[in-house]
Amino acid sequence: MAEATPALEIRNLHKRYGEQEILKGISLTACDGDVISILGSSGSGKSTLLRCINLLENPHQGQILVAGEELKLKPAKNGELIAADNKQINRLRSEIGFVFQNFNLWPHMSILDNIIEAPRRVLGQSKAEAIEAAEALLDKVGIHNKRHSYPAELSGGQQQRAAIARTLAMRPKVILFDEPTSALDPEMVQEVLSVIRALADEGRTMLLVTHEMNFARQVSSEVIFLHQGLVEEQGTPQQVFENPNSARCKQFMSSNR
Amino acid sequence: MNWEVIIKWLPRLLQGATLTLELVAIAVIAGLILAIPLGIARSSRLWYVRALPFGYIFFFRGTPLLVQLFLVYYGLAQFEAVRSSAFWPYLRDPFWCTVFTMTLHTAAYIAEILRGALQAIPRGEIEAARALGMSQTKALIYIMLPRAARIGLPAYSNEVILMLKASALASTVTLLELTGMARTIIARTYLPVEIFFAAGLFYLLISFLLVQGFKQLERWLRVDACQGR
Repeated sequence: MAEATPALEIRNLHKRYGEQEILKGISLTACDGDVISILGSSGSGKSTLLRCINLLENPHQGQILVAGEELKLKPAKNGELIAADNKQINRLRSEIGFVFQNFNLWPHMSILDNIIEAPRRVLGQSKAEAIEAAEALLDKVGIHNKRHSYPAELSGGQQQRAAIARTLAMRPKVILFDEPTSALDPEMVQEVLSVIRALADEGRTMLLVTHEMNFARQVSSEVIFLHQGLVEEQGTPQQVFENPNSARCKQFMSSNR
Repeated sequence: MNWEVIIKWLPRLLQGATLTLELVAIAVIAGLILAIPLGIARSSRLWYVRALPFGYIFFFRGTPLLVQLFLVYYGLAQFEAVRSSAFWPYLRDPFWCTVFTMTLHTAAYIAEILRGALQAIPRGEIEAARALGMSQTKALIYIMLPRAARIGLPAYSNEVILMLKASALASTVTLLELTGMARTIIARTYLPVEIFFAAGLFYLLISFLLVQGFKQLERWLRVDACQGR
């Protein structure tokens, strides 16, 4: 194979909650610079898929490879697969950025402290070094003037931008966005989307679970439509949005126009 | 009300209050230090890690402080091993017996406060730490404990004030702390109303100062700003 190693590869991922199978064997490949949007109705397993990638949820079956390195998994008593090597999972997690729907900033720390904490504790950066990088990132997401504020003093859009800066501070190879605008007021959605768009333009590798159909269409290099735990439709935005093969996907797209 | 008597004995009561403060300060600080590993172990997912702190907390919360104090002060001396041990110079001293008992007692309560606080941290905040690559230990030290400290602080300040009042039990093992001193003075003056009134004022003053101090600490740690989520 002449192709370069994909930045992220998922093979045959399965996840159950009790008897209910949420993911029924999902595979996907993200090459460097790919922006893959994952669409689907509620309960189709989009968020679960994303959370399984860095083991915030434990899958029951499947393989996860980050830049060609396979995440070592071992079965736990309850049938889930858990990390076999704690050092490895912590290192891989530091390379996979994750942006949450609810931001999950630490409310007792200033925005700047939120951003420098992980680079200092995980990457071993000095405080000065981490602050310098954080200031540049805050500038980039447009909330430099809020660096000494606390999360509760920021609007939702600003909090999400701070959370994105916190993720970027780890210099991740891949960033996973789990419905980053779903908890926001409509008027704050755009400011967050424009930050994500800028990241896409930089050529970052990203997986994006979203309900912002127009946005997904504009920024994605590939769109995946999930339905009942399976990839129902997959292809370029044009193909999936305008000419889907599956009836379910067609219906979903037309209801979201 | 015989104010002259109160004023006359004020210096002695102040002496008692100082001893009360010493007892409480050592107990709640040492108790806090002891409670941190206990509380962490108590909130573990593994039953065999939870078991020991559970037993400890069960015993110290389930029996009266007075009984514990008597067990230590009168009970330990029964054992030759204790009397010949290096700790005997401390364990024969009512001050250290009281400090020891109060510390063990309050540590059980503080450990429960800490467990509750750790478990009250919103899951997403811990997930954020783990998703950034922090190990369980790093997430605990850098994110969860500072966060839990803010959640548990109001309950901790309550515990400190409870210990202030519980310290009156030290008078039963001959210590002349505030209550012990008041009783001694009353034995001489036969004026229980005046002297207990004055002692009560001292307790009120100390708790007032403690409440104010914790209020400042809560403001400094931004406890309020962290709650509304």
